Amino acid sequence: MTHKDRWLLWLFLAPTLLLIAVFLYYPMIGTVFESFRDTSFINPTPRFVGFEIYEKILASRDFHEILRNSIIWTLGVVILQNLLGFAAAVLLNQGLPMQGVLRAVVLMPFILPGVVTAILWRFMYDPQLGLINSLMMRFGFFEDGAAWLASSSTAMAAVIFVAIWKGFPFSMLIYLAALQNVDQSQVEAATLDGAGPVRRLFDVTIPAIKDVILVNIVLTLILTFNYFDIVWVLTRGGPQNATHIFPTKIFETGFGQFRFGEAATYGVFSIIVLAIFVALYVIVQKSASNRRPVA
Amino acid sequence: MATVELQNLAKNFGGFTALEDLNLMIEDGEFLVLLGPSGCGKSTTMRIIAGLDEPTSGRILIGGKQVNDIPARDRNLAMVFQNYALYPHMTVGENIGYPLKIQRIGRADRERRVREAAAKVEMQELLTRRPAELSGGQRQRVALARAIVRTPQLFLMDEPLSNLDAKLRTVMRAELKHLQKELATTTIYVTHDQVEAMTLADRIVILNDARIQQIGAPAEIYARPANVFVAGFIGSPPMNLIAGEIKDGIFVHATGSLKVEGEPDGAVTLGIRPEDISLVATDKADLEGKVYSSELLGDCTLINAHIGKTLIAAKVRPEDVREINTPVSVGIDHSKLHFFDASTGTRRDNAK
Ligand SMILES: Nc1ncnc2c1ncn2[C@@H]1O[C@H](COP(=O)(O)OP(=O)(O)O)[C@@H](O)[C@H]1O
Ligand SMILES: [Mg+2]
Repeated sequence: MTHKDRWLLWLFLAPTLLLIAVFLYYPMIGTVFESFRDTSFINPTPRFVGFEIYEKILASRDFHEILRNSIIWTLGVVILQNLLGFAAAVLLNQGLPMQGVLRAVVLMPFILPGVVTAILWRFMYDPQLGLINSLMMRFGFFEDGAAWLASSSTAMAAVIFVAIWKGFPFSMLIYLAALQNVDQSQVEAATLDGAGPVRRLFDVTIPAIKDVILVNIVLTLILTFNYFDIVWVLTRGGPQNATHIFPTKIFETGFGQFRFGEAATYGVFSIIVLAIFVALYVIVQKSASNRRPVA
Repeated sequence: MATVELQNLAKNFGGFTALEDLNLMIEDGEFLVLLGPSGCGKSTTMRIIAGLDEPTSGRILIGGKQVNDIPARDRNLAMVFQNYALYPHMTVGENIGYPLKIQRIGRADRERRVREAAAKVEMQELLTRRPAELSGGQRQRVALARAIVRTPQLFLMDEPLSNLDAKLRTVMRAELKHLQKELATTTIYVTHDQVEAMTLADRIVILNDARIQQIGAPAEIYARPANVFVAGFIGSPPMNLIAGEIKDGIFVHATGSLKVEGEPDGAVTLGIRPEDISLVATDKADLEGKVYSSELLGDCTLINAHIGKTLIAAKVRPEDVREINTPVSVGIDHSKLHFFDASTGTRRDNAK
C-alpha cells in the first residue's frame, strides 16, 4: 500500500469512525462517568461518589442473583440454540422433499417481533387457558395447571425455551448457508475413504465450517447476553429475581426506580462482560488458525 | 484388484439422458480410460461405479459381484478427484492416513503405511504440511497417496491432471502409468484429453452423446476409428474428413475426384490422417488446394489448405513450408484411406 492509498483509506473510514465515536463510545464513556455519580429522585443534583455504588452493588444479593441468572440464561440459550440450529440445518441440508416450505415454516418464529413472541407465549404458558398446560393435562402429566412463569423453579427454563424457539432459526440459517458451501467432493472423498455420516460430519463438515460456528457462538453470546424484550414482557425479571438479567435490571433500576447511578453501574458490568466475550473471540480465532495437529 | 462390468447401464437426470445402455467389461489390472468431450457422461459413469450416484437402470458388477445396493463407502475403491478434494484442516500425513484411520488400523501400522505411500509419490518429506502449503503437483501426489495407501480393489480417477500445467502433466502422466503398472490395480481414468488417453490407456472407451462410440487399444482406435466422431476426435490434428460419393471405383467430391479401386458405390465420408498426406508435384496431385496456414512445428510442418470449401490439415516434411494463399498440390497415401457411411457415419469395413 502506498502512502497515498493509506491516506485515502483513512479518509473513507473517517465518517464511520466518527459515527462510532459519537454514538457508541461517547455514551459508553458517559455510562462509566454516570456510574461514579449518585443520581436519583431524592438527590437530583448529582454528586461524585467514586466507587461507592460499585461497593454497594457488589455486596448486594441482587447482583449475585443477576450474575448467576445471566450465566444460566446466556449459556442455556447459546448452547441449546446453536445445537438445535445446527441440527436443523443439517437436516434441511439433506435434500428433503418440500425443502422450501420447511425452511419457511422454520423461519417463522425469527420473523415475529420479540414483543409479539412474548405476548404469544404468555398465553401459551397461562396456567388456566394456556396450550402448554392443556396439552400436559390431556396427556396426564399434571392434575392441574402449573404456573410456568410465576414459579421461581420453572420461570427461567420457560423463558429460555421461548428465546430458543425464537432464536434458533437465526442460527440455523447461518449454519445452512455454511453447510451449502462445504466442498461436496471432500464429503464424497471421505465417503469413499470409508467414513459414515457421523464421521463425515465431524471429520469434514464441522472442520470446514469451524469459523462460522465460532462466529455464530460469539454472536449469539453477545445477542443473548443483551436480550431484553422477551424476558421483560414475559416476567419483568420475576418472580422475585428469578429471571432478572443485566438488561432487565438496568431498565428496571433506571427507568422504573430512576436510580441512574446504579443503572449505569450495572451497565458498566455488562460492558465488561461483553468486552470479555469479544476478547475471547479474538483469542479463539487466533489460536484456531494457528493450531496444527500432528500426524 | 477386480474386474468391473457394466450391464445396460443408463442414467437420466429428469428428462435428460446422460447415459444410455452402456455395456463394458474391464479386465483385472487393466488401465481403462474413458475419453470424450465435456458433458458426454464420463463423470456420471465413474460416479455410478463409485456409488456416489445411482443408475436409472442397469447393473454394476465389481469382481463378478453385483454392487448396485452396496453403499459407496463399502465398495472398497479409491477415487482421485479433479480438484484433489484433500481435507484442508489435516496435514499431508493425516490426509493420506485418513482411510486407514477409518478402518481403525493401529497408529504404528498406520504411520508406516502412510510413509510407504508417501514415498511412492515422493512426498515423504512433506508429511506435516497442510494442503494449502503445497503446489498443485504436490497436492495431486497427496491425493494419489491417499488412494493407494489402503490397496483398494479399484482406482477411479476423474480428470486428475487437468488442473496442472502442461509440463507437470507430462511428468505426472508418466508417474501415474508407472505406479499403476507397479500396483497392478484395475484403474478407470476419465479424461477429455486424447493425448492423455493414448499414452495411459491399455484400452480406451470413447463416449459421446451418452453412448459408447468405440472400445479398443489406443493403436487400434487410431488405426481404425469406428465412426466419424472417433475419427474427428482422435489425433492432433484429427483425421481430415471429406464428403463425397463413390461411383465405379472413383471417389467424387466437391472439387475433384480420386481413384479408390475396389470400394463399393455409395455416399461416403473419406477420412485421411494429416500424416498420410504429403506435398507433391502438380502432375502427381490427388487434390488441389490453396494454403490457408503453414506452421513449422520443428519435426514437421503443419499445413492447412482449402480443398474447395473443406479445410484439410497435412503434416509434411519440415522443409515443405509454403506461403499463405499459394496453390498447393497434395498427395495421399492410398493405402491409408478410411471410408465412413455418409448417412450413419460408421466405418464401412467394420462389418467385414
Ligand atoms: N446432477 C445432475 N443433474 C442434472 N444433470 C446432470 C447432473 N450431473 C450431470 N448432469 C449432466 O449430465 C451430462 C453428463 O455429465 P458428466 O458425466 O459430468 O459429463 P463429463 O463427461 O464432462 O464428465 C452433462 O450434460 C451434465 O450437464
Ligand atoms: Mg466430468
